[in-house]
Amino acid sequence: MSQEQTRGSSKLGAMSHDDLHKAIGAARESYRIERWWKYGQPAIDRISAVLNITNAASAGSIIGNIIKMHGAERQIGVIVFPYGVPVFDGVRLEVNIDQASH
Amino acid sequence: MAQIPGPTWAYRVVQIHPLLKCNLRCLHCYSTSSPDQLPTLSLERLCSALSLLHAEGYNGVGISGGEPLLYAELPSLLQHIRKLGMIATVTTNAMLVDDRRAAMLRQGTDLVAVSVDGVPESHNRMRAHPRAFERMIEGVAHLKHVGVPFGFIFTLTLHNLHELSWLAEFAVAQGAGLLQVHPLEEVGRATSKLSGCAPDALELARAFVEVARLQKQYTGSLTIQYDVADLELLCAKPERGYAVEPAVACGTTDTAAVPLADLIAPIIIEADGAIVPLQYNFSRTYQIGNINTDGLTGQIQAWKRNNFHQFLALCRSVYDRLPQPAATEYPFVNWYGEVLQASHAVQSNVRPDPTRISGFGLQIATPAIHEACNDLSGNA
Repeated sequence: MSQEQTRGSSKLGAMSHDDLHKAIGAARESYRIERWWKYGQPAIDRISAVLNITNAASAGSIIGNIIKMHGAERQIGVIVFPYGVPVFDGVRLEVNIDQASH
Repeated sequence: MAQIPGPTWAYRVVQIHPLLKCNLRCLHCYSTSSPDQLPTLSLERLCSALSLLHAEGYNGVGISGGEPLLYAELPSLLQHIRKLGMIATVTTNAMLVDDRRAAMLRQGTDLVAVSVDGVPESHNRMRAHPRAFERMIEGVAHLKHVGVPFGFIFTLTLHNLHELSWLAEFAVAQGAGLLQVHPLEEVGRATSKLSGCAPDALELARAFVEVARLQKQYTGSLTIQYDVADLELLCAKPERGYAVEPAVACGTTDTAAVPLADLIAPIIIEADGAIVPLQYNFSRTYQIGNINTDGLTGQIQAWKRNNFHQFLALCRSVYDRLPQPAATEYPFVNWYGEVLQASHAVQSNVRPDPTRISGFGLQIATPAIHEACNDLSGNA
């Protein structure tokens, strides 16, 4: 069995040097290694909130502003539940904000 | 007076190995822990040392071993850490967690890190125990039952990156808040059991891409921490790798006046009481002190005055060997492993082999090395 066949990454699919170089560049746009730990763990602060937005017209911009907070230091998860069938008259947002306090 | 940020910046950790006794004999164990190991550290000495180190600026304590749940004084130790106001984390295989221990951990820790080495078969193989995974899940269930925040630690080898996605899904399903990816180092028991299995620079680079992909996928559900250094950052900010002159770093030539945590983190209290920089099994040439010897304050002051510059020189030598990020195809390095290796190479006057531990270029493994890994990978 050759080295390449037993290598874990080979089971994810082959990648040329150029492709890997591009993939690293793309990955760095969303994921940065700002700290590297041998011991201990970064404290994970999670904020969870439920927002009821009754003004349907403003729901889109509110969701957009929350999503804009997403970044290397803060990860945002949003689940949207629309109220009102068949007429959409509001949303319930479940928001999770994970802040890695490195 | 400036703090040298080092790899973890504001989070200044003291790592404690209060014992080497463990219920397992894991293949990758860097402390060569086992059921046969005997030495333990006295609670009194540990608490006294932690009080002093807290005064020296450390704000976090990580407890490992051996298996920390086998340390009889763990509840009292955690209580002391709480009183000091330091963050406490415990790393465990979770096989010994029951509701009573889980309640104790809930009181005393900020996070419990559970070691998981991939899919069940891989985990059991690495743990050298046929029911390790099954009993780990039982332990995690107890943690969840009492509401202990927990995460998983995965040891990345040359052969198991493809299991990371499974583990991320498993982590989310279990309710873990964190998945931490540590590169294997061939130290301790891994020197003989996992020779040639440390991830090389190519594997570290592929892992970075995979980690980023998974973090995107699990945004909001899981934080994935990849514990290697990005050469782009490290070369731009040498202070992150302690590659600085003492006077420049501290704003003074009187390093004895600077809190120890501002000079170096993490530090490790090994099972014989020795305090060493950065990593278990760091060369004792750089030892900071020993908690079992009276006069720890004086030992620390002497180290700051007489030995800190040697440590910085070591880190500068590692930094100087790093390729420029633009000159390498694989810009990630297991920085801790490189400094550990250099600490021993300098002591023995042996030139460090850049291909032995991941980081610089491709590690070309021979068929003989892969023979050694066959059991681990399950491939014939």
